Amino acid sequence: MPVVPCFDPTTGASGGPSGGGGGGGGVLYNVPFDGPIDLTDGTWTLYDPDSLIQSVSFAAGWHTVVWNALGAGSPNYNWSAGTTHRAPRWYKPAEIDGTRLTSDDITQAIFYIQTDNVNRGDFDNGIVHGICADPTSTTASTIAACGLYANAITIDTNTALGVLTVNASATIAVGTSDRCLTTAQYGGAHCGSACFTVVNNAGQRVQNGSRNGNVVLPAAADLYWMVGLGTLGSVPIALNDESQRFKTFRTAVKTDLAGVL
Amino acid sequence: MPSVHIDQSQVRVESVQAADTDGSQVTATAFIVPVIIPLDQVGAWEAAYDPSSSTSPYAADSRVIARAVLDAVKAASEAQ
Repeated sequence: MPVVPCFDPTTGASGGPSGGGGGGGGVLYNVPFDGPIDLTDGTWTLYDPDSLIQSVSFAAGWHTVVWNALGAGSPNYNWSAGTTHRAPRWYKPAEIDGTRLTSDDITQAIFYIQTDNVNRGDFDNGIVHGICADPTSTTASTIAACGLYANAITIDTNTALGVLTVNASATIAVGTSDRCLTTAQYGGAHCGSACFTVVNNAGQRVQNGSRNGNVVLPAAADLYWMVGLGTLGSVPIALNDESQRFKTFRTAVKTDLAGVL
Repeated sequence: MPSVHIDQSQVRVESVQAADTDGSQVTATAFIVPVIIPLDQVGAWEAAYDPSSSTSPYAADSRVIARAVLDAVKAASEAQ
């Protein structure tokens, strides 16, 4: 028989703990993921300053993205380089249980990706799934993205998986890596840090790593979820080229830090 | 002679894309070696280094950092 407290641990009221939400009564073991994320479900807005995305489709959890031609490559389309980011990205308000996250909230944002290592794309490409401060900026430090990063080099057999912090990344490609769990601890007026575990299809660690961010965020700024695609390096793109197919998930937790300060 | 240390358990191989000290882009699969320079050693290191001189720092000072880093890489490489 389970043992149930007589009093709510938060309020002290009789009758045991209250249910739902954070605060001690919520489900925190096996927290479900949102998703698979569907970039075509109407909740996402595409910001694509140079009109590189021709189409995105979603089937059985997998995204297929077809690109317009990019004659000359540029580091501006590489999420993991430089200070100007003009690569396309989908975004939506970052919320937990209907409450909008702001840059004041220290939040654990957890991202998962599975990449299609057969369809790795026609050009060297990268995928970001993260949290950010301003997805419609083209300045890396203003976007201030932090989260999961995957990249595929067309001549390689593996996908490198790991973390992106603003405009730099740490990734690992090992074995036939195609799955990665990345947690970003973001907020408190800073872009924070991220850590990752590349996992096999049994959910066991294959490799892991981490990276710190280095951007101070403005106070009380609304935050966004972001899925960004781009090139790896400065490579051109031919008309109708695809980037790597992927499915991705997300969940997030904001603890009641104020309650223990 | 100033000293440095290495956080040996954190030496690892990763693919990294980042900006170098001069702002240039670094893209490499590489050993990442955390070098620990105690704050009380920073002044001595800075005094030993003149960026405008091609012979700075002195070989003996340079060897302190070089050997620490190379010992770390060697140990990590042999452990793999």
